Amino acid sequence: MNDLSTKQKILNASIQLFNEYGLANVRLQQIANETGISVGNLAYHYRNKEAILAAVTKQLFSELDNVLANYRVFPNLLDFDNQLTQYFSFLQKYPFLFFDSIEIQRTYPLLHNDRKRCIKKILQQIRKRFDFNAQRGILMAEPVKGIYDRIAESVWCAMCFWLPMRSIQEEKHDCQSRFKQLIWSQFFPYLTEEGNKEFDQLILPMLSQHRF
Amino acid sequence: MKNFHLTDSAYNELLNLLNNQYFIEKPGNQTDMSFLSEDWWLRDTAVVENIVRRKGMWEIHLVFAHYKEPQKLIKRIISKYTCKKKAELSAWYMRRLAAKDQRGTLEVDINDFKLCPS
Repeated sequence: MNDLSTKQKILNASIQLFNEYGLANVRLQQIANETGISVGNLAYHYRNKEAILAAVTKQLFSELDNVLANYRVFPNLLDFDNQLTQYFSFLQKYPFLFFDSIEIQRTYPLLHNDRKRCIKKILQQIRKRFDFNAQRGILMAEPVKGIYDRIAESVWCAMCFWLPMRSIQEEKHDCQSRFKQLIWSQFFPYLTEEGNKEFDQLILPMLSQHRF
Repeated sequence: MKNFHLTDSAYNELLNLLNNQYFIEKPGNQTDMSFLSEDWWLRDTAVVENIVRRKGMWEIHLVFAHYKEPQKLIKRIISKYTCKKKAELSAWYMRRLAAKDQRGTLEVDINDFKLCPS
């Protein structure tokens, strides 16, 4: 039990340091200091930084899978909004994953495979949301063949690169409403009259709740 | 052990099924649950077991009678046995299972109802 908690302490300290300094700038010594153990003890639990990162990614992808499991809980637009809230919390908890995504891909290609699997799932879910809401009459039927595929990709881009974008703009990146506004703006031009009503009724009050 | 992952096409199909659920499955009507309120009086019934011999078998009849209005009752044939003792034993257990008053403090005599055997 004690062994497990030490492992978790190491992971928590690593996540905190990765978020603060970036993946490439964190050394094992720093992780050991932050955890309050020796480097030797750290090496007993995780033989190197890649092993720590593998455990961290396993934990974070399991959390991301939980977010993705919340598909079609509500039969309306609130379903996606709810998932966006959870996804935003995920972004805030693991910003290093989004800041250091290219670094992870270059240096740890095996870990990147797990990420690719999740990206595919996210893209498929967003795309299916278009199909579902078009069938419900909330979104218009695909005006040009393949356009919903492209919008699904741009929604994913906005979700994935929200943190780097805000950081480059030197803006604070903990404004949930701004994040949601960016995502919903991709859907907005394709809402039908019925869709606009549902949006005004269910989503707009949530977005204005967190005005900044 | 290697983690199990759905293939892209299987995941796609799963999402399609979840989407279709909305269009295929309809919520039930209020009237669908009316049998619950119609049977509500059964909560306050005494259960009496009755063994009836018919066509060479011993049938277990359970009679559910309202404890305040004995004329309000229903009779249900539960099962049948070739052996009378076995039927009596099963009937006793079935009554214990069905009765709200399991210890039998509410006394109802089956003969008071003058039921016809059919």
